[in-house]
Amino acid sequence: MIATLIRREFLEHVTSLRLSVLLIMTTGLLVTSAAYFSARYDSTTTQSPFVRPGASQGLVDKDGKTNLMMAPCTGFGLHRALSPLGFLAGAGEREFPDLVMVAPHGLKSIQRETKTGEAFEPAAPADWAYLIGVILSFGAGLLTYRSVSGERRDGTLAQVLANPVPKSMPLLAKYLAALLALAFVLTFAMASGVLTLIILGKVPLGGDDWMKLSLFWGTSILYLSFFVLLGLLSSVAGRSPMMSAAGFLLNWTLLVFIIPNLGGIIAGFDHTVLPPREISAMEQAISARYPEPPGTTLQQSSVIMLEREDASEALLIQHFHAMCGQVGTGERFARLSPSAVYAYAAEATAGGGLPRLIQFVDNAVRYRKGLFQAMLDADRSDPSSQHIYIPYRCGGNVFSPRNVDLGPAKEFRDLPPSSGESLLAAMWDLLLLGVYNLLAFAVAFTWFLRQDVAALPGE
Amino acid sequence: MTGILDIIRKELLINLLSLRFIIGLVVVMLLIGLVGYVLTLDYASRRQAYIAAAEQHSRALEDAKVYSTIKVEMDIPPNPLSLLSRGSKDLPVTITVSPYHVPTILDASGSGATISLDGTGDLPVNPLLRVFSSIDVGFIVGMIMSLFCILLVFDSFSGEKEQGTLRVLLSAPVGRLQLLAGKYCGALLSAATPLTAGLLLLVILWNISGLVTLTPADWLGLACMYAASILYLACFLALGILISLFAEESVTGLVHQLLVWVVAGIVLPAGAGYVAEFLHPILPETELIREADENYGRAYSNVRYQQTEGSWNVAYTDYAGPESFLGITEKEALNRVEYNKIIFPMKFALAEEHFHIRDAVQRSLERREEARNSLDAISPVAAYGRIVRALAGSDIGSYRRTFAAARNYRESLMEYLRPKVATAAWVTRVLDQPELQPTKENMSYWNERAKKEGEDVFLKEWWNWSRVKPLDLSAMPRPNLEVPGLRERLGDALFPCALLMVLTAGFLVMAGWKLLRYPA
Repeated sequence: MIATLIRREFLEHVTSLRLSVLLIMTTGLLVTSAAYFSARYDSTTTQSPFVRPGASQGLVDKDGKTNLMMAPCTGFGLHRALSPLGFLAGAGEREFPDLVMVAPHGLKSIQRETKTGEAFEPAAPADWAYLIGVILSFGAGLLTYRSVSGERRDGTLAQVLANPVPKSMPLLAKYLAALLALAFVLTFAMASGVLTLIILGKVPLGGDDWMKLSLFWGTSILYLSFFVLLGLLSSVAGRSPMMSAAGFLLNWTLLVFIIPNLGGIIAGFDHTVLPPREISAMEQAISARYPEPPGTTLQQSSVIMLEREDASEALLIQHFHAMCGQVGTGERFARLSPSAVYAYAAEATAGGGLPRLIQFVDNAVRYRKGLFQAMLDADRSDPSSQHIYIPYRCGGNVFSPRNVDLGPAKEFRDLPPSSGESLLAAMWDLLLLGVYNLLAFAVAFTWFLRQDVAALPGE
Repeated sequence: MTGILDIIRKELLINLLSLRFIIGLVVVMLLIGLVGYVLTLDYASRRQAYIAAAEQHSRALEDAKVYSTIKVEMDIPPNPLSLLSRGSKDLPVTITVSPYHVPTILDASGSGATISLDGTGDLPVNPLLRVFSSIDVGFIVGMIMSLFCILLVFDSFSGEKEQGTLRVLLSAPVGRLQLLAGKYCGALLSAATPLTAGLLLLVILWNISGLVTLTPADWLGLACMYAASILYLACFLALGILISLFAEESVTGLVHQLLVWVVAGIVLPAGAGYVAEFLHPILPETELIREADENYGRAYSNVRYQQTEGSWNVAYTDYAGPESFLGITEKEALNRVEYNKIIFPMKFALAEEHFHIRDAVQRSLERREEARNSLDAISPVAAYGRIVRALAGSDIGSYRRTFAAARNYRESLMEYLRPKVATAAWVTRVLDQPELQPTKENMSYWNERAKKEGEDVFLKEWWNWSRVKPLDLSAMPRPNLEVPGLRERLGDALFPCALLMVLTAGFLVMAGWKLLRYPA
């Protein structure tokens, strides 16, 4: 019985003009977005000789050797490895820092490299999560707003309810049919987009990426399911299709546009980030905390300066984490909206977002420490050296002047998270989306079950 | 006339007392208040950073000791109207002019994109917050208020049709066009109410906080922005009424209007951006610059090779700093002048070459913008976005003019600096401060002191850059950055304004035609 109901509703959807419009619009935008990403992905990776994703540069020469004596005054950049799935949800990929400047003895800064012309782009390029999040969620409303209120107005709801099937069955059928129709649009549009990427051949999609794409598809279905339920709820609650449409529209605007956009503003009320002047004063206070009294030997001076560098690095990391915390505050507020939850889940799935940024900086710190230790070890094996490392001092005759291969320590590995790690990062958001679905399901079905055949108009 | 006024009054009252109006008013007021408050703080922070940077850059210029290191940094004052349209997150805040760099809009580097322990601002800055979409008053009007307009008028005629009151209205002693005008004006007044209230709230907020001071030109700009916003709302209302006239059911009208809104607000701007990128890709600046640098590098190496083979002492860096001034005798300084006369014009030529490359890239950027503007010209949302960005001075046109003004200034600066290359003061000041030269007498004096006081005396007293007096730059052209005035910004906003007017008029004409043809 339910299969018949679903088939009928589904056929009604797939033969409707609105689904065709949705299909064309979504496919067109996803395909162009994929092509755009493909073109940019290529230009981003080859933009500058210094951009070598996931690699260090500056300290290691082309033969893979490091001059120990020149190392103390050599700064170098560590670049974040780009995610080939940035087209899924690229806000963090695009906006978060992608470069960490490092000296062997400490982290210096965390930066974002600007790209030519981006200052005059009126809006950020739309990624798949944004396009699906706006257009298909709107489509969910289009498919469902009149499903109950329309039947009520036409007087057919009483017949449906009078059928010898459980009372919840018609609504369940409407829900599944609308979700199936949207899943069809989503699958077709995503497949077209992925096909575009494969044909263009510039974005290397590996085995793990297919898992992530499947995860993204599942996340999108979960997200669309919520809006289908919201549409049904509006339809159940509205006295007429017009009221249902207006109700859905108001909720959709609030959830898709207003709440997610307020995240940044709400984050501004979190005052954990200190002003630059205060941070600068704290850094100067570090020098006072580790003074070099007159008569300090070079050996002692080295120890004191390295302690200062460690303290400065710790302060920079603390400052960075305070900033991440502020972003987290904004994201927590924005998670009131399933749209934002979906965007964050999609981002985590694609291997981006705040957790990925923190992972990148952690990787950079770990690499820096390993490299520094390897340099000290290499110096210790040089009997002619006095084994005194002085930060920022190049060419001194107290540290080994050898050209050495630091082995695996010189390789900076910053790979995007695996599909398992992505799933783990997206887990809470997926659970939250599930909770939103359950809530919407419970409210919509309870409301619907309260409909009494006898009280319906036209009876 | 009384008839039309009555219709306006009736429509206005119906709208003002409706739930949708009250919800719209509350949402718009709340959003404008909240966003206005945050953007006011942001503006205050940018203003503070501007004042601090301008002072610092002015001090740095006064402290110049040789001509070759003169670098003029001109700070762009934040525009108070950027509170309404913030523009991109990476708009340039400083323009650097030097003999070795010709500014273009590609210098846009943004502020606060680096997390480090250096900084001077008193307000917290978090570059990670850029991950959130920026929301400003332009966005609230462009996206949220256009939806509000749809909600106001989606049933203006279709609702009357459904209730059967349209025929009654048409048989009343009021012309059909008057009826249309009455309904339209009533809706426009209703839509203008939250906008007016929101902007008033913003102005009160600015006055109370004292963080924003508006000049008469800013007030005029604000008034223009208000007028443009009304025009935009008028366009959406006209479109809504037109669809409502064609729709048999209100709900169908609503759905069609929403589809149009999604296409105009999201699909067209996003699609136009993609297509424009394909039609006019931005030239690969870095590769072209690298090529030019390699050519320059070869020429430069030749010159340096010739000089080291010859008698000139070029064991210094090209650029002046304490090291180029240390230990130079008068003869060496004069040798250096001959070297500079060859090498520095090459550097100026390289700067010009870089400029030509970057100018071509800038043009490709402008072509991309033009293509995007042509492709989404039919979208009122895109047109409105262009108007507010132009009026707030956050569009590409305003910055193009500002950078052109900076380049004009550089021209005059170069006229002043070019002859200085042939003077020793281009890189060293030993000629006018003989006590700093390493002559026999001076050296024995400093060696004696070093024996008594330690080697540090060379560094602390003799090789001390601060001993050199700053240059007299009274004849140097003063930096004067001319940011585009309101008239120029209005000029940029004119075309999209005209486009909005044409669209509005078109929708109204079609609505009038449809209503006139409606059976009596």
